[in-house]
Amino acid sequence: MKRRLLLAGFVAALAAKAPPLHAADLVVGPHAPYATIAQALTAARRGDRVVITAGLYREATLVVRTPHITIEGRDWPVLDGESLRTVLIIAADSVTVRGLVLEHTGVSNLDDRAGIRAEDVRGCIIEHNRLRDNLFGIYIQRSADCIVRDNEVEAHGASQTTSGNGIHMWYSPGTRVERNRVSGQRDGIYFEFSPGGVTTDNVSEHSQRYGLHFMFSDSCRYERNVFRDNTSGVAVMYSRGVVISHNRFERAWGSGAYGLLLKEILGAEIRGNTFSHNSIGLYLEGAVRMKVSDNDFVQNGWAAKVLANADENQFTGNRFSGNAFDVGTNSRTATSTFDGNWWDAYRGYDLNRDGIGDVPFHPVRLFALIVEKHPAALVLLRSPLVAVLDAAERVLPVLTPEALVDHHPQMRPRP
Amino acid sequence: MAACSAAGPVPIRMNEDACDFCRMTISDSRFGGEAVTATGRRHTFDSIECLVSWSRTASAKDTRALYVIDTQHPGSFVAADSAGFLKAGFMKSPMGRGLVAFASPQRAEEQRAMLGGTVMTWRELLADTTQTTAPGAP
Repeated sequence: MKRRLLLAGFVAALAAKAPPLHAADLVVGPHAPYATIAQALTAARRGDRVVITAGLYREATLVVRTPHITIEGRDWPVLDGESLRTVLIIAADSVTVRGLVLEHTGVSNLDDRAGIRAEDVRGCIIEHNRLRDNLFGIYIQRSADCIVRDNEVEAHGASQTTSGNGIHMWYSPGTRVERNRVSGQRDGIYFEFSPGGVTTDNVSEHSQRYGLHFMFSDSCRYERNVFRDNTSGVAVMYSRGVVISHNRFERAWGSGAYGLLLKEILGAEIRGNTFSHNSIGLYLEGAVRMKVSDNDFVQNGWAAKVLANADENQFTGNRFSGNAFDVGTNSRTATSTFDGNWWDAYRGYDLNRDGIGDVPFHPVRLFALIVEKHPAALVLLRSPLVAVLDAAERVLPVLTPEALVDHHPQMRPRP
Repeated sequence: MAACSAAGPVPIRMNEDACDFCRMTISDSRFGGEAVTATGRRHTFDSIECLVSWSRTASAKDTRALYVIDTQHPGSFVAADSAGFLKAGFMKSPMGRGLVAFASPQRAEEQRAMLGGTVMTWRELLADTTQTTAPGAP
């Protein structure tokens, strides 16, 4: 009996402390108790839910100041910025926003307008929203441990010169970005000074610049995302301890376009990705101690470019097929290593039938070195002269970088 | 390329030209700069941060002229020597150090009076080694 009393007391104490779930629903709409969203937000208490019914809402920038509330759209209400302003600002902890259409922030050179902006908060959840024609879609600023998932972010089609990013993190550690679709923004997903983020299962395409971009953001994970048809591909810079696995980097064509550009990165794992139809699949500049394994490089101009200042990178178990050049470099003294990869350009044999070619493979073609110095020479790519050069270099590899040799080329692509 | 053009800066093509220091494609016309070498070769930069960092490298030794974008007139250049610079953490410059350029130190000072931050000249920027493009918070 005594024990039961104690338990009851404990439960009562818990109930008093924890925020009540859905203490009240504050319904907004033309025929609802609240005519405007702003009125409902002012009235909402901790734990309440503001339910916005279908309709078109044109209100001054909405600011959520009550923690632990949920703002939920029913049948896709439209919140319109009228090309004048940021639509919704989250300024309290643990706020959830879902089911809204947020559109037309308009463009400004002075402030980074966004469909939804989280400012100096913890634990916000932004999910199942549609963001259309905004300068920035979702902007997470100086906030920690927020979740951005299942949103659709689509840029305005007209003005190409002034566009912000789709999902933007600025000084926001621990953000999770999951299952969003972003299209047509400047950078689809951008982490700046935001360590410890997890970015999975997103599709980011048709960006005016990068599908994914991060700088100064250590210890982040990027998995199972698709980045395609982005003008400049994907760029990853000035970060440490990054894991990039099972993503697709597709169709970044043009000068200055890269499937994945790595610049000043220390110790990343790049595993199980597919790089296909890019001018340059993987570009390493000042990238040190990368583990590049089990990736597919398919039909790129250059599968990988490893610059002189990219040191101690290990390429193992990758599959290279249909690339104009497998590996390019601007140095004869590279310290990166290639071992146990499969190369469709390999012409060697396997007499002891152990699955490993008996003669080493030199992935850097002599012609690739020439093109590196004299880009105009590229017009000779299919010429017989170059074929002769390649054959001579295979027999007697004297000019290609001696370190860049695969001593265990696979006879068959490893599954 | 614009290598054969006469003296003076050539407009940066947004979402086409890349930064010759950080390799990023340039996409924000409020920031950036340009260097013209003695041979007329043009180098473009996405940010004041990168122009400063590049100016300290060996590649910059035969530079003839340096220009920066006047942030109040996106896309238009002023000579780096006559510009005024404002360093303010809230300015979201491409390399994150919050560096922007104005047509003159007076213009930069006007903005500082309203917004805060620190006004600097090009010489002071070059001398200040904390300005480099490197990881870590500003």
